[in-house]
Amino acid sequence: MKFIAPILSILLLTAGLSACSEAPKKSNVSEAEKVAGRTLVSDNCSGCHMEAEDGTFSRISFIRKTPEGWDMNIARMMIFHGLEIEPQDRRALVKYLADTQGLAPSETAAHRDILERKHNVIEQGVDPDLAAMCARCHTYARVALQRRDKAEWQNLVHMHLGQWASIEYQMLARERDWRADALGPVAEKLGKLYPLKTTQWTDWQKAEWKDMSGSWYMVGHVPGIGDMGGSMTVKAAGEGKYQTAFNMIFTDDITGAEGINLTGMGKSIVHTGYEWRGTATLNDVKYRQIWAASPDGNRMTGRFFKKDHPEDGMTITAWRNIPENNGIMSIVPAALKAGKATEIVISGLNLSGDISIPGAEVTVKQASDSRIVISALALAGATGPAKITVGNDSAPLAIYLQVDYLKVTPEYGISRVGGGGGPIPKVAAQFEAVGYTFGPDGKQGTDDDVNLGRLPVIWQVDNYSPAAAAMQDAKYAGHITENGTFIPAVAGPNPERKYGTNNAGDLKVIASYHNGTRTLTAEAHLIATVQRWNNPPIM
Amino acid sequence: MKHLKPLNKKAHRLTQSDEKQEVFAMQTVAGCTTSTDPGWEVDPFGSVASLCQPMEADLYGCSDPCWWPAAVPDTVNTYPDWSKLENTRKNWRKLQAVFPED
Repeated sequence: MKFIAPILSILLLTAGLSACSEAPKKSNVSEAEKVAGRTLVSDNCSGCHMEAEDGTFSRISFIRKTPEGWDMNIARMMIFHGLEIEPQDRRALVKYLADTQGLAPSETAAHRDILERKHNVIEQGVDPDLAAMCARCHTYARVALQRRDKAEWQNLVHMHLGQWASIEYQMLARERDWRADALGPVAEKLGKLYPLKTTQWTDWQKAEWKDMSGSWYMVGHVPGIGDMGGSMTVKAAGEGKYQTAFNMIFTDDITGAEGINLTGMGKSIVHTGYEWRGTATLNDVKYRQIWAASPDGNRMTGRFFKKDHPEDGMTITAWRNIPENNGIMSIVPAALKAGKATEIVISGLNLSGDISIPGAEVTVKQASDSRIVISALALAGATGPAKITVGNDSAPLAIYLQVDYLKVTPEYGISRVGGGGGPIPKVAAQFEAVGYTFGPDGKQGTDDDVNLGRLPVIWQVDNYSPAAAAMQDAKYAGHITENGTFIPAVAGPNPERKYGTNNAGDLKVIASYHNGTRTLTAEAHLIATVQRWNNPPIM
Repeated sequence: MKHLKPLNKKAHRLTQSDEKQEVFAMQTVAGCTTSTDPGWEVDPFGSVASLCQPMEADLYGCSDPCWWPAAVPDTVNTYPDWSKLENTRKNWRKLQAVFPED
């Protein structure tokens, strides 16, 4: 028996060693990637940004940003300080910095609209002191998508003072002690709101960043055109890069009729484990993707837009094709007029089972596991909020007798003159007229009002104010198409106009919907203004 | 204002404007530069009537001291060679976008 104890010890020790020798969780950024990234920082930045004994670089190591934020940093170094950097090194630097000093998904969630270059966004809920200091020249999102401690926020104030000579003398700056405000309470508040170290970032660095390759299904809405359903096939190309292939079918969200087919190939990269950035050529037009993946890597949301016209694009939801992702992703149109047979397209993943709409007769015209086309006829007694059921899943649908009122979205839009021989293209503004019923309470503007989706309307523009009428803005600023797209006029002084002024205008956009015997109208405000020459990815 | 006398049409318009009207600056579309005298895209009243007209006439003079840095090139940082354009009102078409795309 005397040999048993040592043998047991050896066995236990071996078992213990085996537990200890289990491979540690793989880091999201490999050691080789870290070394290559540090070398790039050293080679391109250390001429000005000193490396300390602890391996940190001055300024750079004390900031966290989005991929676009880091890219704008590098661009500023190129413009202001003469940095010369190869495009591939610029991209690799952005990737390294966004992966090692990025923002967690929860840290960017409140400002995705700006990151996605959505048009006509009015930032809401911004602290008034911070808005007055920062958001009169650029978006507040540009600030809120950075993380620094107070001393580093103060460095940013000094940078602004040094770089933009008139910053203290501008309207709404000069009547206060701007410098003391910026370096004092503003830097203090920013340091508390957006500090360098956060548990969100620490936790996100520890989380497993997922591989995005596989088969995806997308749905999206293009204002003024309709809705899209389609596939995206993603193949890994190494180092967080992917090759993509797209096949999209559009549906008119008013009539349910099938529209154009958009196909093509692209390339994407994932920064920070979830920031999906892609380029693609679809039907010979260049597009960009700015999407964010969910923490489990199985869903993505974001925008797909034309490279040269970021205002022209669609908001996307994409699901990875796995059994857990099953159900309805969109219904087009999502409103059914009682007594009128309507074609409806149901898009989703792994759709199966019976299709029904309580109070309506349904005929299935086409069915696959991602796209179902039905014809539905609702009875007059079934009006109100309803639902469409496919197997075990359902989605809301409205059944209505008549449209009670209209709304034009966006309520406040912006367009810009462009072209005219200059290098800056026009920026159009897209409007939609959405119908509503009053809902059970019979009152307009209450929570029970039912959204009926986009309606076919007649569009026109008029002068917004007496000053605009005096300048004949509506005559000169541009025109609106039958789809609600306002096309601005050309850039440059117009000798026909008073003062030879530009083709800018303060306009109202009016939608008219003929509803049997009556006509409903609604208005929005449009600022048709001058061009910008400085168009960074975060405005 | 009672000791100040408006000398031109724009100054007259400002004296006649509703002084109770809130400054619109923070209710404008994201990215609009509104803080200056006037703003770049939108004037302090949320319109375009009080912008420089035409803006090309003031573009060089106002951009020189970085008056609209977020929207317009300036001669300090982004467009040091602006003087080569000679006459901005005439040669505005030669002014290039300043953000270096990748």
